[in-house]
Amino acid sequence: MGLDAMRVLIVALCLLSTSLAFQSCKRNNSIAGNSDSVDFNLHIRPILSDRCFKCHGPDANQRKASLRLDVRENALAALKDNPSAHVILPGDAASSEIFRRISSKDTAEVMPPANSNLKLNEQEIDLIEKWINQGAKYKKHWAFIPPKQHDLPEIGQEDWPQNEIDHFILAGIERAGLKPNDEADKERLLKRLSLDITGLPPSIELQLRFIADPSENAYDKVVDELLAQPQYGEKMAAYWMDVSRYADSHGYQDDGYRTMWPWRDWVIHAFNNNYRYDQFVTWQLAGDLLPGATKEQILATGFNRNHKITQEGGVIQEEYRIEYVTDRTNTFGKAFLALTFECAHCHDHKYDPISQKAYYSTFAFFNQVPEKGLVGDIQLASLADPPKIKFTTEEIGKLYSFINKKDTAAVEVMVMKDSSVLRPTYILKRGAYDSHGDVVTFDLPPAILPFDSASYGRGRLGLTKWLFDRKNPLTSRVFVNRMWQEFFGRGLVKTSGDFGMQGEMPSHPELLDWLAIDFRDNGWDIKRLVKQMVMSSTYRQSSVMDPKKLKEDPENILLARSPRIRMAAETVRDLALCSSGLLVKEIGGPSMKVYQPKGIWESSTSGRGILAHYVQDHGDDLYRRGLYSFIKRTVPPPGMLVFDGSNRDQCEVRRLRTNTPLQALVMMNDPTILESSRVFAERLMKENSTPTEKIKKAFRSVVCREARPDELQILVGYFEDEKKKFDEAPDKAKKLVSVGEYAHVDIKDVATLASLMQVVHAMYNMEETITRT
Amino acid sequence: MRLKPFLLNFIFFLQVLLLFLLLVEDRIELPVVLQVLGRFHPAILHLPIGLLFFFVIVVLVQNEFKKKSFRRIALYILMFTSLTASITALFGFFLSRQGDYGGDALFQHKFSGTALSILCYVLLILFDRKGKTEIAFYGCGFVTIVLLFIAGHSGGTLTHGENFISGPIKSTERVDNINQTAFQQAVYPILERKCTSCHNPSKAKGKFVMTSIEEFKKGGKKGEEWKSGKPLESRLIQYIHLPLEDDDHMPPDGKPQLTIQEIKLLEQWVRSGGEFDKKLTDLREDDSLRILAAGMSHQNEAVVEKQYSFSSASEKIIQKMNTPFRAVFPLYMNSPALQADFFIKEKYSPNSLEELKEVKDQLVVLNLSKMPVKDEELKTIGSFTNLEKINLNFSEIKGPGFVDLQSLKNLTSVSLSGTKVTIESLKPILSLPALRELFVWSTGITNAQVASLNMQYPALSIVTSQFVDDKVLRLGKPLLENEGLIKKGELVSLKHSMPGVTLRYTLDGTPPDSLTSMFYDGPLNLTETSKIKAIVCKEGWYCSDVFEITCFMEGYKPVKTELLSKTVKYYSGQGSASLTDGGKGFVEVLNTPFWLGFREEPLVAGFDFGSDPPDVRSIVISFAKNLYSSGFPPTEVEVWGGTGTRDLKLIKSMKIDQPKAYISSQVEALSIPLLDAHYSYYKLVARPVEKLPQWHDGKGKKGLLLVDEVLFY
Amino acid sequence: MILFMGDEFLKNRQHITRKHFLGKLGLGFGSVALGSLLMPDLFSGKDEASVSAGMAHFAPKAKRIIYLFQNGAPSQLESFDYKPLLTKMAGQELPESIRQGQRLTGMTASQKKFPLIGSHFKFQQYGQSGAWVSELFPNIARVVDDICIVKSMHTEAINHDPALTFMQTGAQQGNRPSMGAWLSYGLGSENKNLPAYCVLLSRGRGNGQGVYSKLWTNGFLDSIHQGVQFSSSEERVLYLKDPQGRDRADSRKMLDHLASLNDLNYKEFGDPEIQTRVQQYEMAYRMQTAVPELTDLSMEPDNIVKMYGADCLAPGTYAANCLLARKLSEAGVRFVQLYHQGWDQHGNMVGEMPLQAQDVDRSTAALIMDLKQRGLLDETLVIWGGEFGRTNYCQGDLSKDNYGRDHHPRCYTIWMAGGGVKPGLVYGESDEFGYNIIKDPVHVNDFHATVLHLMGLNHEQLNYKHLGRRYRLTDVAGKVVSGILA
Repeated sequence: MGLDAMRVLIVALCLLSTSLAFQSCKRNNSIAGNSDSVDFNLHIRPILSDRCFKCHGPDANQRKASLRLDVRENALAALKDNPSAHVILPGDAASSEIFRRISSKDTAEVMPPANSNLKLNEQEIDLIEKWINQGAKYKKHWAFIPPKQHDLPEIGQEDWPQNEIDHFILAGIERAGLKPNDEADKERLLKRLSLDITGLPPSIELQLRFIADPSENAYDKVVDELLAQPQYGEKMAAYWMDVSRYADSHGYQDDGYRTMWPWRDWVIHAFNNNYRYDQFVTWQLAGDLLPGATKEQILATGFNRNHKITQEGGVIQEEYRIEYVTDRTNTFGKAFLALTFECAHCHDHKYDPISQKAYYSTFAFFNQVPEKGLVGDIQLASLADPPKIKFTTEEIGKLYSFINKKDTAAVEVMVMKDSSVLRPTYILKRGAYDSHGDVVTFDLPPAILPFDSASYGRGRLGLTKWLFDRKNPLTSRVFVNRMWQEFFGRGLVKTSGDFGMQGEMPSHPELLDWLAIDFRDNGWDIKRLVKQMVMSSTYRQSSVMDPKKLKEDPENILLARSPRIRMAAETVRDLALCSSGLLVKEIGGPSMKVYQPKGIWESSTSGRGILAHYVQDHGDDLYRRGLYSFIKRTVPPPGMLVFDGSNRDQCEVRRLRTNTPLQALVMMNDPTILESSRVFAERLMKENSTPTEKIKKAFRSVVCREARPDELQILVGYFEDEKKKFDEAPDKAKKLVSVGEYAHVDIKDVATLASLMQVVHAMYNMEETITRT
Repeated sequence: MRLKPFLLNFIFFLQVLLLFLLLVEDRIELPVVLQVLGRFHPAILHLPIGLLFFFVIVVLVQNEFKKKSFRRIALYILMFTSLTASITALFGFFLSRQGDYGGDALFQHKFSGTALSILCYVLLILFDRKGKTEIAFYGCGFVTIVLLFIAGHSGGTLTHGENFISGPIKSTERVDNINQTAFQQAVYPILERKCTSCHNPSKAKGKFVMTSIEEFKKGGKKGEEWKSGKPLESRLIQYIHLPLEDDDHMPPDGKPQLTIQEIKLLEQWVRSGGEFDKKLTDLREDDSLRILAAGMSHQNEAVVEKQYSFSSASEKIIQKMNTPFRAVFPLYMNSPALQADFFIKEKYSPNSLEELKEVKDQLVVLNLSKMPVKDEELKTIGSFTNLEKINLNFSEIKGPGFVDLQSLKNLTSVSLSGTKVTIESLKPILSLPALRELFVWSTGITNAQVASLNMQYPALSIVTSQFVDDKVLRLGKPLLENEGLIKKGELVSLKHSMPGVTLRYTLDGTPPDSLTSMFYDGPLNLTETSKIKAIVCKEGWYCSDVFEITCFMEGYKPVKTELLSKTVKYYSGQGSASLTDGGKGFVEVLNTPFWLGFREEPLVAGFDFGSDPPDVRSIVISFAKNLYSSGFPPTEVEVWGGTGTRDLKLIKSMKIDQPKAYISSQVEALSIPLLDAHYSYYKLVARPVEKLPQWHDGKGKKGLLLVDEVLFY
Repeated sequence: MILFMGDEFLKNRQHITRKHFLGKLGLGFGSVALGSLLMPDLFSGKDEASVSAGMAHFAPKAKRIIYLFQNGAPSQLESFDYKPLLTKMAGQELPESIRQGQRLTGMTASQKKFPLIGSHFKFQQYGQSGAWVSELFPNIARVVDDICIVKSMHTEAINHDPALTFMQTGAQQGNRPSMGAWLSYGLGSENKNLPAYCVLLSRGRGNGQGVYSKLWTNGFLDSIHQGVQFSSSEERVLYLKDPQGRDRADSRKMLDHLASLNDLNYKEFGDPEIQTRVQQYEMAYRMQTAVPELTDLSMEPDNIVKMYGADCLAPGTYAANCLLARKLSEAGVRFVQLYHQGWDQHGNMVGEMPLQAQDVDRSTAALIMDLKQRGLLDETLVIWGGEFGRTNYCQGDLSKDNYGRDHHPRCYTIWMAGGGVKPGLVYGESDEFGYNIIKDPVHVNDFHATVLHLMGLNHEQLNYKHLGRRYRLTDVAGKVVSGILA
C-alpha cells in the first residue's frame, strides 16, 4: 500500500541526510576520523610517555613490575609472574594485558593506578586499542631520527606560496578546510618586519619610502636593508642573553658585580657579521681549544661562565663547583639539543634515553675547568673569577674594536679553560656532590648519536664536532625551531626547550625537517634563514582573526593568520625611546642603571658588595636599548620582570607572554614612558604645524601607521579636553611636563605641551602599540 | 486525521535511525549540538517509563471506559510512549558517545534501551492491528516491562555507580552503631577500603579472602593470616610493616596505603583477641580499641567534608554574582556552599547585598568587614538561612537589627569588632542555637560585661581585647628626609611618622633635651655643613633616643681639581673627580666610585678656583669613619694656599684626635676653619693613621683614610 | 595535524566542552553537581585541567597566610628549644656519638674543638601549655597558648642561599615557583583589587644575609602569580603612583579614551587579548585606589599603635610590616610574605640576639592578638621561623661573656598559629643536646604539604607540567603532619 512506499522513501532520505551530517563533522573534529592508521610517534608515545614511562620507562630504579614500555621487545615479552599473559599481543588488543588494565574499571586493577593522579581518557584508550590491533608497531622517537628530505606537499591554492615554507603551511591549512589570510597592509607589515628583525619600530622616513615604493621587490629591499642594520645584531643578541643566562652580577645572596659585558659585545658582533651558526656555537663551547685560538675565540667561551657564582662565606667549595658544572651541562642540553638533561642529574631520565651515566659523561666535558667554588670575600671580590682573560685598551683599539670599553683600565672577562691534568668525573648518586659513584669519561647520549672520540677527538672540541655532525638529528632542528618561534610566536615544536618524549609533537614535522636540512646544507647561514622566513607568504599574512579560525584553531597552530604577540620587555622600552627620538643607538659597552623605583636594591641587599645601593646613571646612559639594562640577578629590573623578562637564573629558551595589571601600571607610570611622551611632545611643539598634524605625526611614529579618521577624532577630542583642563590648571601642566632628566626645551605654551604629552602617552598605552600585529 | 500516520512513520524512522547509528557507531563523531541533546537523556527518560505504566493502568481498568474511547486513549498513550522511548534511546546513544562511559553496564544499557524502544514500537503496531494477536500483544507487553527494569538498573549503575540501589542498605549497617560489632564498625571498613579490592572471592590474591568472616578466619595459602592476641606474629600485621619496596609489603606499592590510625586499630583489634561479636559499646570507655575506633570515625577518609543538604547554584548565577567589589565563590571544588566577600566600601550598597538573595540558600560565609552596613540590611542577611559565619567588623551596625538574625539556626560565628553594638542589643544573637564564637573587640561592650556574658553562656566564647597596655614605650628616632649632598637653597627637613609628636634639635653638637632645645616647626635653611642632633617626645611615651646626622651642604666649586697622590687598590673611585663631584658615598660599602682610599701615601689634592676666587671661611673633609674596615679620621691635615702649584704657603695645619674604641660607622665631616683666605689655589694634605691603636683588631698595621668629598665655604 | 596536538589540545577541547555544556545546562539544578554526574573525568578534581581551576580541592581550614620569615636563621636554643644540659656541659666537647658525621660549613670546617654552650638567656614556662620560652620573647610568651611550636624541623642545605630557596620554593637550586606563587595558582585571588601574593621586606640590627626576588618568583607559572613587592618608599607598589600633574580623574579620562581606541582595534582584529588588556587596565586602576588606602598607617588608632609598638608607623620596619600584613590579609590577600633580615649570629650572640628579638617580639605577638580580636585568627595561618637552626656548640673560641653559633640543618624550631593548627601545642622533640631530632621529625617537604593541606590543597594534585615534567611544591616527597592539625 502507498503508505509503506512513502515510508521507505522517508527513511531513505533521512538516513542519507543524517549520515552526511555525521560525515561532515567527522572530517575535522574527530581523532577517530583520521586514525585509520595509528602512528606510534604521533599518537601513542605521547600517551605512553606521559602516563606510563614514569614507572615503566627508561629509569631502571623506578621501574615497577620490571616492565618497560619504551622498548618493544620488553613490552611484548611474557609477564614475569604470569607467563601465559603478555602486556602487548600485536594484533590482539583484547587479550593484551595493557589494554585490559587501562580499560579496567576496577580501581585495584586500572592503570595508571588511582593514586598516581594520572588517567587515560576514552580517545586515548581507543587509540592504544587500534594501535595494538594494527600490530603495535614501534618507531624511534621522531627527534632522534635524522631529518629526512620531504618533497613539497600538494596544495590547492597554487598562486599563494612565495617559497617552500608556504607549501607545507598551506597544505596544513587546506587539510583543515581553511584559507590563509590576505597579505597584511604595507604599514603593519613593515612595523612587524622592523620589530622582528631590528627590535625597533620603523622610522617615519622608512615608512613613507616603503609605502611610496610600488616596485615588485619593495618588500625584498626593505628586508635586506633591515638585516644590514647593526640593530639586527642587538635584537638577536637580546634573545641569546636568555639562552646564555647573561647577567651583570654573580647571583646568590651577596650578588657582587661582574664584567661579562665584553662577551655580550662579541655576541652582537657575531650576529651582525653573520657568523655561521656552527662557528658561532663552536667558539662559545670550545673556542679556547681551537688550534692557535685567538683572543676573540677565547672570549666567546664566556658563554659557559655566565652561570651564577656564590660569594657566600662558609659554603662548601666542592658543592658549588659541582653546581656550576651542572649548570653548564643542563644549559648545553637545553640550548643546543632541546633536551631536559637536568632530569638525569639524580637518576636515569624517566622519559628520554639519557641514563645517569650518560649525564655525567656529558658532565665530564665541562668538569675540567680550573675553578674554585668560592673566590674571595665579597667586599674585595674580583669582577671576574679565574680562569679569565684580560683586554687592554691597546688590544681593543687595534684588534677587538667591537668591545665598547669606556674607561682606560683594562677589562677582565671570565672564560673557559681546561686544567692540564684531567679531573676524574664520577657519577654522583642522587646528584649529591659528595656521594661518588663510578668514574665516567667523555661521552654523550648514544640514543642521539654515538660519540666516537676517535673521529671527533676528546674534550669540548670533540663535543662540538659531534654537535655539528651531519648525522646529529637535533642541532639544526632545534635552532631553526627557535628562530621560527622568534618570528611566528610559537615554535613548530611548541616546547622549544624539550624535543624529548614529553615535549609536544611538531605541528609540521615535514617543514621542520625541510628547514633543518636546508639550514645545515646552506652553510648554517642565519641571516639567510631569517630572510627565508620573513619572505614567506605565511609570514606576510594579516593577523585578523575571524571567528571561524579562532574557534577551529585557537592556538593558531596552522598559521592560517599571522600571530598577534605582545612585545618582549626590552622591545617595549626600545619602542618608546625610539619613536620619541630619545634612543641612543650606541652599540655595546657596560650595562646601564636606568630609572628604577627607589629602594628596591637597598631593601633586599645583604649590605655587602658594591651593588648594595642602586646608583642610577645619567645622560645618554638613560636612553640605551633594553638589552643594556643592568641585570642584578637577585633584583632584576622590575619593569622587565613585569613583562616576563627572564631573571637570568638559568638558561631560558622561551618567554611567557602574559597580560597583567602590573603591565598596565608600568605603561601608565614608568618615568621612561612618560619622559618619552614629554620629549616627543616638546619636539612636536617646536615644529610649526597644527595640533592635528602633530597628533597625526606622533601616531605615525608610535603606532607606525596613518591614524584612521575615527581614531584621529578620539585623539584630537582628548587633546582638546586636556587643553581646556590645563589652561585652567597651569601648574598641573608644569608638574606633568617636569618628568625626566632629559634637557627640557623651554616652551611658553605649557598647557598645549602637557595636553600633547597626554595624547602621546595615550598612544603608547594602546594595545596595538606594544603588540606585534 | 493526519497526526496518527505521521507519528507512526516518524516513530518507525526513529527505530531505523537508531539501528543505523548503532551499526556505524565507532565510525562517527557527534556534532556538538547532538552532544548537548545527549545530556537531556537523564531528564527525558522518565517520560516513557511514566507513560508505559500509565498505559498498563489504563489497560487494567479498561472496563471503566467505553470500548471505543478506550482504544483511542490507549493507542495515543502507547504512541507517545513509543515516541518518547525512541527519543530517549537516541539521546542515550548520543550521551554514550561522550564522557567516559564503557564496560558491561554501558553495553547492557545500550542493548536493553534500544530493544525497549523497538519493543514499544512493536507493541504499538500490535495494538494498532489488535484483534487476532491478543497473546502476542500481552506477551510482548510483559517482556517490555521486564526490559524496562534491566535498562533502568544498568542506567542507574552508569550514572550512580555499582550498588547504587542496594547502597543504602549496606551503608545503614555501617552508620548504625548500636547493634553493630566492633569488627563491622571499625575493622571491616578498613579492610574494605584497602584490602578487599584484591582479597575478594573473584580475585583472592594469595588465596586470602577478607570479604566473609569465615574466609577471613581461615586465612590464605600460607594458612592462618593472623593469631588472635599476637599482632607481631600475625602475617596480616607483619606485611603491613614491611618496607614499601619489599615485594611482600601490603598493600602493594602504588595501591592506597594504610594510615597510621588504621594500622594501630588493626593491631589493637588483633591484640585484643580478634573478637567478631563484641560490640564497641560493650567495651570499657577507656578501652584502647574503642578510643581508636572513635578516632577513626572522622579519620576514615583523608579529608571529611561537611555535607550540605542544599544543591549548588548554577555556575551562570555564580558568575553573575561576581564583580570586582563582590567575590562569590564555592568553599571548595564541587561544594554547593558559597562564600561572599565585599570590598571597597565606596562601592557597597544595600542593593549589592540584596542581589545575593539569588544564592540565599547556598550562602554560608558572608564577609562585610569595613562595609557601611546598617541595621536595616540585617533583614536581608536574615534571609540567608544557611549562613554559618558572618563578619561585620567595623560596619555601621548598632544592634537593633539583630532581631532579624534569629532565623539563622546554623550561625556559628559572628564578628562585630569595631562596631557600636551594645550589650543589650546582643540578646537575640546570644540565644542562637548554633552560635559558638562572638567577637566584640573595640565596641561599647566592656571587658567586665564580656566576663559576665561568658558566665551565662559557657558554650559560647566571646572574644574582646587581647592586649593589656602594661608599660610605657620609647618612641622611634626621627629621620632626615634629604639625601646626599644638599644643594644651595635646599631646605633640610626632619620627619617622624607618628602624628602629634614634638621634635627638638641642636646644631652645636650638644645633646638635645625635651624642654630647652630648639623646637622644630618646619624645614631648616642651613648654610654650612653641620651636625644635627634631634629627639621626639609625645604624651604617654618615652622620648626617643637621640638621632644624629651630619648634613653636608654644597659649597664653592673649584674650576679644577687634581689628585696629587696615589690611592690604594679597590678605593680609587673616579680619581680626582670623586673629590668635588658632589657624590656622597655610603659608609658600609666602600669600594664604590665615591670613595678615595689612602694608606701608603697621604691624601694630597689641589683645588684651583681660577681668576676670581671666593673668600673661603672653612674647608670640610667628608670622610668615612668605619673602624671595622680600618677607616679612621686623618691624624693631621695641612692646607696650603697660593696663586698656583708654584708658590704655596702653609696657611693651616691641625692634628685630629682619634677614636678610643669601636664606635658605629658613619660619614663624618672634618671642618678646617680658615681666616680671610682668598687664594686662587689650595693644596690639601691629610695623613692616614700610621699605626692602628692597640684596641683595634689590626693593631700596628697602617690605617685607611677614606674621603668622598672636599667642600669649601 | 591539528588533531594531534595531544595533551594541550585535548585539555583545551575539554575546557571548551565543559564551559559550553555548563552554559547550556546551567538551568535549575546546580550545574556543577549535574556536570560531575555526566562527565566525571572533567570534574573529578583529579583532572589536571580542573586542578588549576583556582579553587580549593577540599574544605580549607585557612583562607590566608601570613609568613613571618626570620631570615638568617634565629637560634632555636636562645628562643624556644630549652636545653639546660648545654649550660651544665658548657665548654665541654660535643660527643661524636651525637654529631654522627654531620657535615660542617666552610666556616667551622677547620675548627678543632666544638665546645658546647647553653643559652645565655633565661627560660621559663608559660601559659596552660607550659611551653618554654626564652626571656628574649616576653610578648610571644603571652600568646604561647595560641601558637603551635614545632621543635623538629629539619632541612638539607647548610648555607643560607640554598636553605632559604629550599624553604620558599621546595628546591635548593633552580628557578621553581615559590610557595606563594603555588597558592596563587592553586587558589586564585580573593580580592580582585589587590595582588594575591604580597612581599614585605625589613632589616634588623644583626648580620644581614640578603633576600632576592627569586624567593617570590612565579618560576614557570604565569607572571600573574609573581609576588608583588611592597616597598617602604612613598610608592608602596612599584609604578602604582600616578605621575605628578595627573590625578585619578585624569587617569580615568585617559583610560576611557584608551578603551574606545582599543575597541576600534578589537573591531578590526577580533583578538580577545585586546579586551583582556582593557580589563587589566581597569584592575590596575582599581589597585591604584585600593592600595594607598590600605597602606596608609597614619590613620591607625592609638591602641593599635601601642600594641604593635612605636616603630609600626615607620615604613619599612618589621613592626610596620606586621601591621601592614594584617591589613592586607584582612582585605583578602591570599599570601603575605614578610622577610626580616639579621638573624645570623655566628659570633656576638649575646649582643645581637636581644636586638633582633626586640625588633620582632612585640609586633609579632600583636599580630596574633590583633587577628584574634577581629575573629580572623582561625582562618589565617601565621608562620614564624627561619631557614635552619644553629649549632649547640660555639663557633670560634668560646669566650666567657660571648659566643656564636654556626648553621645547623639537622634540627630547628618554627611555630605556627591560627588557620587549622592546634593551639598551645609543642610538637616534636630534639635530644637533650638540641642537636638531633628524637620525636616526630618534620622535613621541609612535610611542612609544605601541611601548609597546602591547611589551605585546602592536596600537595600531590597541585602540580604543573613544565618541559615534560609535572612539578610540585613538594617535588616527589612530603607528608601532611596530621599531628598539628586542629
